[in-house]
Amino acid sequence: MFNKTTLMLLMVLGILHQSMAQEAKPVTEAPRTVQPSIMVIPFAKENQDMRRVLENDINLRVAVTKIKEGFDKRGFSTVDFVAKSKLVNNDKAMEMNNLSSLKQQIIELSGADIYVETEAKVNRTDGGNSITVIVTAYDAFSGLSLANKVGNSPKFYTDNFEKLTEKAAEGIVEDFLNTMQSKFDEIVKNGRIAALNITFSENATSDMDTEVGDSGKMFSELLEKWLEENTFKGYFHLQGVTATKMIVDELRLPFFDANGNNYRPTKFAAELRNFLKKNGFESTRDVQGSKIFITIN
Amino acid sequence: MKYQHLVLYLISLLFLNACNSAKTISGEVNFIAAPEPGTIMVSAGGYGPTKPQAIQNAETNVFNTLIFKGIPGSQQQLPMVSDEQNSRKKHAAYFEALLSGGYKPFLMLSESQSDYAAGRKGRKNISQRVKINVDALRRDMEQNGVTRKFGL
Repeated sequence: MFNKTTLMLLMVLGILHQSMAQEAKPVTEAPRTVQPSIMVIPFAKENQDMRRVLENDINLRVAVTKIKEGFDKRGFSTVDFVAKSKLVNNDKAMEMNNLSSLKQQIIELSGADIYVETEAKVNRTDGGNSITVIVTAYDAFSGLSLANKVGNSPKFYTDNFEKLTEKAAEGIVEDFLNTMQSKFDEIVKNGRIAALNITFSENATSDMDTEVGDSGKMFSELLEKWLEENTFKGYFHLQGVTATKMIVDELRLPFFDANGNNYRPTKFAAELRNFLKKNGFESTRDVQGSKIFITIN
Repeated sequence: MKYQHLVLYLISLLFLNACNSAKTISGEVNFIAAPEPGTIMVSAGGYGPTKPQAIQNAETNVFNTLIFKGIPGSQQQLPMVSDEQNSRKKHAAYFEALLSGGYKPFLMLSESQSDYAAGRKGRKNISQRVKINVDALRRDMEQNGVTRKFGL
């Protein structure tokens, strides 16, 4: 009797343990994702007011909305172009009446990391009408093109161009987002792209050829060594060095620091400043997006 | 006598196992259409010693191609995972479960387009028309940490 009871108890305990073990099974944590801010803007020719272009073209508005919908479906909120352009409108920037720079101003004021230019073109032929939608995604700071797609709607004997625009946009948006994501994956794998420009102020008493410490090494050599150790996987491309300037046109920065926090170009600039200070160089820094400017005083 | 039965049983097991190796992944997956946004319709060939196994093989081929290779001509030209080898290793349990029948919730339609019959090489096969809910599959892969969510 005792044996039977013990056996049953053990079995119950075993089942309980198994179910608890299953409950305690760790859920695979989704890879951490830092979301860039993206703004979908209408394509405008030089000297054209983008907002006016958008307001006057229903097909373009449909195309922009469809692309924004695509981002929403991926759980991604975009920065609204119209709202941002109104902000710019209220700003004194408009007083400059410089339309060609308006796009840049909107991008800068919006804080968008990426902007997606969208164009919708009407095609009228004897064989039917269609719409061509062109979308291009750019990195706002480096100007790097992230994805490009051209979509055509089927030809129909109709003047309902809004519907044709929907068809054309729907036909490419998934592929467009997949291409963007593959570029993002590549950036995460190989690091964020940045550029570095080191110059000397007029009053500076040293230059790139100044020997630092007892090693007899020139300042530029010391900088190169530091860049090797502090860029992502030691990747940087030195465009050129003169006595008064060092230009690194491309360097890669990690996305996260050792503690798993975001590693931004500002942090890299701060670390470089600390390094310079330790070696007796006072400097100022200016970071514009992914472009870092260091001036040694 | 009992010994003979045991040998026969083992031989049968080996034979069944050999038949099971008909799970060969083939690239016979062709894009048909994208009936609604977020879905894809393809035709796929599947091989197997029985009709149900051939159908399952065709369906598995579709998911293998969609996830690891991409389907030309469709909006899913790029594979859903960027690094097949690493991903297969890292998420072996997920893919094992998905490709051995766990894909059913993402299958919106699967219908035979041909008879189950021997092809040119004598192997019995079937052609299936398959419709997949790509959006749901992507979300599932994101939730299980197999792919990254959209963004950096």
